[in-house]
Amino acid sequence: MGFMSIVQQIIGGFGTTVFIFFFTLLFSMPLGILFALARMSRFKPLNLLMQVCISILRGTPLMLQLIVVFFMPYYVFGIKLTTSWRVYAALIGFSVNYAAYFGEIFRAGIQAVPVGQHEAAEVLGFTKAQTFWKIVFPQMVKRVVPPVTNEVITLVKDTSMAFAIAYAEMFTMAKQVAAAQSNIMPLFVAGVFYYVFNIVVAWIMGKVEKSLDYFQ
Amino acid sequence: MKKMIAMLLTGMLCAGLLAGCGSSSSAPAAGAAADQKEETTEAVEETTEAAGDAVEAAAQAATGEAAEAAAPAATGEQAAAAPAEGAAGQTFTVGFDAEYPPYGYLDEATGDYTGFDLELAQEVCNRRGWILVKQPIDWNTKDMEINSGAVDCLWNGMTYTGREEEYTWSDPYVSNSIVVAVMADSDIQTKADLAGKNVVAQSGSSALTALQNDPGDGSNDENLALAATFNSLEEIADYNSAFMNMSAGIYHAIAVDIGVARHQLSTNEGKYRILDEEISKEEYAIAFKLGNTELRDQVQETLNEMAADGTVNAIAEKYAEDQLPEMLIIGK
Repeated sequence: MGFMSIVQQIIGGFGTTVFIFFFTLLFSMPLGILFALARMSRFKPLNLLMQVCISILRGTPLMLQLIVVFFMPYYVFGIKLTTSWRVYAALIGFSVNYAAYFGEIFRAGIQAVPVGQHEAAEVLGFTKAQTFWKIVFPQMVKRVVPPVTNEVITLVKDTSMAFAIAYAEMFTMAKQVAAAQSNIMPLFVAGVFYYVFNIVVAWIMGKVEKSLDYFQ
Repeated sequence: MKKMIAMLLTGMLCAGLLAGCGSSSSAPAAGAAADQKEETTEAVEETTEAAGDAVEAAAQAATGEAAEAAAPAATGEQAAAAPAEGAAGQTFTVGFDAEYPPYGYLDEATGDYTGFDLELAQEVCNRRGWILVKQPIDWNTKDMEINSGAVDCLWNGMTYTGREEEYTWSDPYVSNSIVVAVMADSDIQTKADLAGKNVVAQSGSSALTALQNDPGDGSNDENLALAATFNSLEEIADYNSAFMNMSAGIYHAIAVDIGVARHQLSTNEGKYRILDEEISKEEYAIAFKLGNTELRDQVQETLNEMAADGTVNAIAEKYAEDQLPEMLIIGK
């Protein structure tokens, strides 16, 4: 069993990992903004509901959330599950969970914008929406890049939890190769893949941070 | 106006909470809800639509990607199975633990899942014109997988003995023993030597059941008494980790199905040893969802044909290294 074929097997699983990673980011970021706005809403019921949601999403294991999303259609509604539902369930589970974390990070970013700017915008005749999108949002983005990078890197590694609902990603493939060969090597190869992927992510986020650093 | 938006957001959130439940039904529901409101509807509809589109696109990408990824070196079956689902030819989804050689594992040469049980399943599907979907699952969630219909059967060295009432079973086809594997140079020679040692078994496995299960009628007292002499009986996610742990000195012995133990012995020559004394004897069968006798009967019929014309034996011969031919009980 050559080293190359180990790498080859793991590259196959790497595609799945990147797929979960990419679509989770795509869905959870906008959802996170929605969560943050709902969390800061002055409309009490929405605010409270969001607080409860975030508390549950952060307070229970992601693995459990994935299992709940995947099996709920059957156990609650009696819908027979199909294999393709695994992908949706994984994406829903990951996106909603990460949206909760992103939501709180975005909230911190939004609230860090001084009240004076809201007042100035009002004086200048900006509407609430204009104030948010033209003044608050850009500053929020600048501020949240470092904590968002943290979450993004965590997400790369968290993708390995998708196997809780039998969605085989890179780490699962590595474990399967390891079992087939009775060898520990594939796990380290997978580790190298994660590390390299995260270096790339950190580098890209560093670039983003720098490009947003337009006042210094 | 602001209140309206807030209320709408609350509604969407609730819908979003439910969206986790119903796969496709929730999207039109959210859309319908939006229809009733006026002013802000357009925006909402747009978002729902956009979300729907995105998910659809994701799904399409996923089927392609998943087929590619789950089966690296172009797994014919899986790649073909994904799009063909629901089209002509019924799919037959086998749930298995891909870390359970020789019954189900990843073949490094082809990148496809293979193993004695999966080859049997493939042959059954070939004969019945079904499309085989090999679905590696987390063995701990096997009951949820089969009850929810996510997999059609569990076919992976699945122990029949002691679980008769929990599933609808095929006839037993392999006779298995639970044995004790130790390091080749270990001083453990008999079961009595296990006293005070650290023993491990896979969680959810029949080996663990054999050492822990108390049916209450005294039938398993001997094994329970044996387990009581251990220093510890631990659970581990998969047997490959168990063997790695034992090599590292963490465990002294592993309670394991004989086929799996022999596979470890044959891939690591001279490293491990199996004790002559067995813990228990049991039989493997294919598990279907309780009450699903229709599918069971179809599979059983084809399996019997395969046993009669020697195909089962021929497949077992490929795993002669793991002594599978001697363990067969179907057609004998």
